[in-house]
Amino acid sequence: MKYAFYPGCVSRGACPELYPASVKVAETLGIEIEEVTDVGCTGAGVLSRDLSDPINARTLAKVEAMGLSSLMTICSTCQGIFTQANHRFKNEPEYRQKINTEYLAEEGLEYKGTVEVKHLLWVLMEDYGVENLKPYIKRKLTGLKVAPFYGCYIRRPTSIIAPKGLSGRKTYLEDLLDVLGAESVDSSGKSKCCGFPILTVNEENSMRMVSDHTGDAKTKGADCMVTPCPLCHLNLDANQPTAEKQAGTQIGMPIIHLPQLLGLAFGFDEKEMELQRHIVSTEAVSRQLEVSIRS
Amino acid sequence: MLKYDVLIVGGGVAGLRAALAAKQAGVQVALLSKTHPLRSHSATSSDGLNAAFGKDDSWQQHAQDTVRAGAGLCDHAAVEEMCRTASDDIIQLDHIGVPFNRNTEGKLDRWALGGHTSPRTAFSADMTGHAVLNTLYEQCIREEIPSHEEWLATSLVVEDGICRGVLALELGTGKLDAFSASAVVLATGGAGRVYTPSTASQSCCGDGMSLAYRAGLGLRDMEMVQYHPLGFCERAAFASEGALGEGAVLCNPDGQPILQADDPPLRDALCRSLASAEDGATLDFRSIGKERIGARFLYLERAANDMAGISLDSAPLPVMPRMHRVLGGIQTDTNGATAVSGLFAAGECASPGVHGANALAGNALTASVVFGRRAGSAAAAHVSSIDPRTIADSALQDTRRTLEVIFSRPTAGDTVVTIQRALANTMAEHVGLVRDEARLQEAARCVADLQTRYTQVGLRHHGKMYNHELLTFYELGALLDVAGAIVTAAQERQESRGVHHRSDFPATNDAEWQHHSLVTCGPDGPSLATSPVVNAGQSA
Amino acid sequence: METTFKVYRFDPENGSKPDFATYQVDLPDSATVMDGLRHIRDEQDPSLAFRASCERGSCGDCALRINKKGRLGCSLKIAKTVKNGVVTVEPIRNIPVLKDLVYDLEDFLWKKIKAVQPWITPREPEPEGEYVVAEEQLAEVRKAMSCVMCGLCDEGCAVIKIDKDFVGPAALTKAYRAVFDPRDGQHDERLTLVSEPGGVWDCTHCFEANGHCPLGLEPTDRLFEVRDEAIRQGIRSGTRNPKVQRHYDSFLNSVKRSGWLDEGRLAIESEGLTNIAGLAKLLPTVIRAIPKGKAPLPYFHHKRPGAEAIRRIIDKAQRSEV
Repeated sequence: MKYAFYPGCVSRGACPELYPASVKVAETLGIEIEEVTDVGCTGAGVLSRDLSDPINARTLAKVEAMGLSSLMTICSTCQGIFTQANHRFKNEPEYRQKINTEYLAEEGLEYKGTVEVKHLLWVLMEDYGVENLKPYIKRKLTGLKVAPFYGCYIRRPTSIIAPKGLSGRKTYLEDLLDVLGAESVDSSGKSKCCGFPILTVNEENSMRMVSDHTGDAKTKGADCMVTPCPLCHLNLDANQPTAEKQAGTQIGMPIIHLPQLLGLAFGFDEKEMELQRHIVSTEAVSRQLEVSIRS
Repeated sequence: MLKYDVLIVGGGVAGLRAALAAKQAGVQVALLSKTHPLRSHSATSSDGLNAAFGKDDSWQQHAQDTVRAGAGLCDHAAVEEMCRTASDDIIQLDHIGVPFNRNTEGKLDRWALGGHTSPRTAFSADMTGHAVLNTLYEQCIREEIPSHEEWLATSLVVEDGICRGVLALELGTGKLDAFSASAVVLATGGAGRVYTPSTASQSCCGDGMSLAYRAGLGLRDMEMVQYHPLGFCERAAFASEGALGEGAVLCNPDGQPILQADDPPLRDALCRSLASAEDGATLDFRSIGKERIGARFLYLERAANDMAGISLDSAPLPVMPRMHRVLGGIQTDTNGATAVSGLFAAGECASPGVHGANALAGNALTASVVFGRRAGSAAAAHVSSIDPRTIADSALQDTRRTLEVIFSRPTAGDTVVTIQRALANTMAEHVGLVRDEARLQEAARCVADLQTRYTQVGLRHHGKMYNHELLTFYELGALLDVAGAIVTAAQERQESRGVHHRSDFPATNDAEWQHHSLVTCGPDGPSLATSPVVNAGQSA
Repeated sequence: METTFKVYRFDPENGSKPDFATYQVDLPDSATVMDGLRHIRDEQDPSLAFRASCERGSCGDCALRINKKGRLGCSLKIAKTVKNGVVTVEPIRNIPVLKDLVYDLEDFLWKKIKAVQPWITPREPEPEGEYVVAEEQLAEVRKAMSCVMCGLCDEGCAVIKIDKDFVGPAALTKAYRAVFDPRDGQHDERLTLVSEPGGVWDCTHCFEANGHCPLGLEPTDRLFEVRDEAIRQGIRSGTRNPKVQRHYDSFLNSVKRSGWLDEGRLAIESEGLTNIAGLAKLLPTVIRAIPKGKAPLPYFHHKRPGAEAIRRIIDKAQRSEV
């Protein structure tokens, strides 16, 4: 199955390690992806839906024009915005038609409502099959304690993100960690907001969320947290020193992108997964992996 | 010790409407209520508001329908006042934000309810009471009307025939305080909990009726107890009568429609026929379709799901008649004024005379709005005529002593809960849809017995904060007063009229009984008098 | 059905610490959690305090945490929630408890409802009869207004948990009711009001509220609508929340210019180009990021192919907003 690939802004901006890690994982698994390049930002929940819905309809129309029916994302926020918009496009044909006529027609585009948007995590768990990952695991992550951090947009609104029949999406990270041999650490904030959306508006609240989540993972004994969302990563990793300062505490919780963790299990080394780019040192993860390999 | 020009007791639709009217008249007004206003029983009112709009209907026609339903006991002046002005009230509610359903022209849509000759019930899905309550509450917070919430008025202070305010108990702390006011409006709601099962909220205990009764005022038409035909079988919830107008079908257990005509009968007849059908009935919404159910039965769709486990678009809802409300109450004039100077009443606790022996669907909420407004205005107007007097602190002494006595009683045997349960069961069994002398005598005996037991009951819990047993003690006292009045009036009325149906006197007897019953608190218990129906026999 | 109720107890009058008490209850299968509590109070322990009024999901008085989830006690059957024979009942979270299951909603909810000034002021010209408005315009207002003010969306709110001053989804759902009521004459003023610090822009739109509303009113979506309406009116900032305006404008201009987000530029412009203190605050984060290759150079990122089409879309959408 071939996927159109939407890497999003952050995987090539403030989290430049995410893009190559994702591509390497897809190549390893033989997942065929073709990047859609001439499309726009989803609006990330910042832009009003009046603006972002036509932009996103255009992206989905481009996917249809490529002859594809699936779009893969590597960012929960992109995923969430797409899912919500696509839900409107699919369930309100008049609305979709209005956007087609008013915005897309002049480029000769039309969105017919046929595209499924799927985060890499969902692609692996629903399309690829978790069992089929096993042959590629070169390095079991045995002994590594990982706190999954879903964030908001890959969990909610439940009615459209994890509707009946897909409620398994609530535990995909744990299920995946299990296959990779890692130990899941249950932290209380795993499906809560990371605080990124209010970083500008209310930095204090945003940083409090960061220290709460990372601090809780630490208390529960996690070696690192793993997230499918680069915005969660930005806040939890790049802003962790600021959050530590505000909370008056040392946390030092490494935050790993989902594709990086997969890459490590598939035998790529830390450098290839560009863990050195992270703000919070990932040495503790490396140490634990050394132990795992030796034992 | 707090002091206001006007004190409104009760935060439901009638109370909030009265408060706004008083505020608008420029006096200092405050609310005192047993629950937060938004928790009031008004939130459950589901039928809508009645008024004649358009050229095909007239307020006179609305009045005629009301009088016909009232079976000869409506006071025409009150009916005319309500029917003439209700349209203005509804328009005003629209202007301050009640989201009334619209027709295709964008104007008020209207339900055709039983007993109305025209569709004249404006509604906001099946949550009109909730919408009106919330809208009025919004305006009350805009007007910054002080609100004393979770306070129970324990007695009225009446000196030389003039009401000076109320004594009240703060439920959260057990504190007693006096609220002085030049005028008091009782808007404490109904007394549905005097029966079980009923559609009543926990708070509907006839508090205000009892306060007035003990202050020497008469309770009028108390034997007129209305049942709602569309009650849930195991919950206080009920379906709006609008359901029948929208095409929901009332069926027997075999799925055969019970009602043949397009014109649904009045509630009392329907209730009696449903109550005699042993296997119960169901209300079938399936022909209405999911979308319309969602748009018009916002509440019922959810309630059926949560509380009856029924999805309205796929299965019929089992229903049964439940006691709904006492149509009578504190006797007032069309301004809500009572025989005690400075004391007004409105809403379900009051009887301005619009319902008579049976109320049309939607008229109750309409009366709360219209007479709530009028009582608030009249109370405000009364303020300037009175020399304000502050309630002396000593007034609290009696209440303090009462509390001491209650708390010092032994707690063996009865509890307030067992007495209350026995009372509600007695009323349902003996003073229900169909009455007769033997049952009423038994009821009178039981109520008197329970009254005696009540004077000896002790409380197991002596805490001050949120002492529910103490609250129940007060509520039970009120319920016993109300029950006594209902039984007395029902016994006395040896005929059938409106909702009052006696198997031993099945006919209506205008010659002897076309007058109101009026129960006052005598030295030996309830004492019955009668009062004439104003303009009886004349057409509106 | 035999059930064990574990009920949170706290009585400041006797000075004891909060604890759970256990009661055995045997009620019919149709019984609700509220039936269970009332049974305990009436038959076993008259000192138990809780609020309950309408008993049918109309009034919102009985919001409780039942088996770790915010629910209306009157609308939840024991059979639906019982786990291994146990029902645990606690007050809702993040709120002062007064006694047992009775908590203080004043600061938590009522003050916030008042703060959004949710009353309708008739829009001029006030018609003689009712306002003529389309049913579609009122249907959603009616639905939002069916909110019973139980406070459960606020209870589940991730922001209120850490910042009790955030106005919260319940009050913003109330604001929705006024903002989208076509009869209201204070539309813009209210949008300005809810755009102040602590208002709609402090929401993370994490959609928690949707999952906590027992009526399915989707408070997060309504809050989004309020925010989008504020954007439409161009009063997203109010004058008292300029950071929101700068952040939005910068995000928008970035997407408009290149089709995607210029993160470096967003960070700087959100602080305000002349806001030296604000910019200085960014420095440590930037200094940490540069050696890791994580600080994208502001103003230098390239236009995406398709950027022109996206700019056209935005221009057009903005024109239709006005």
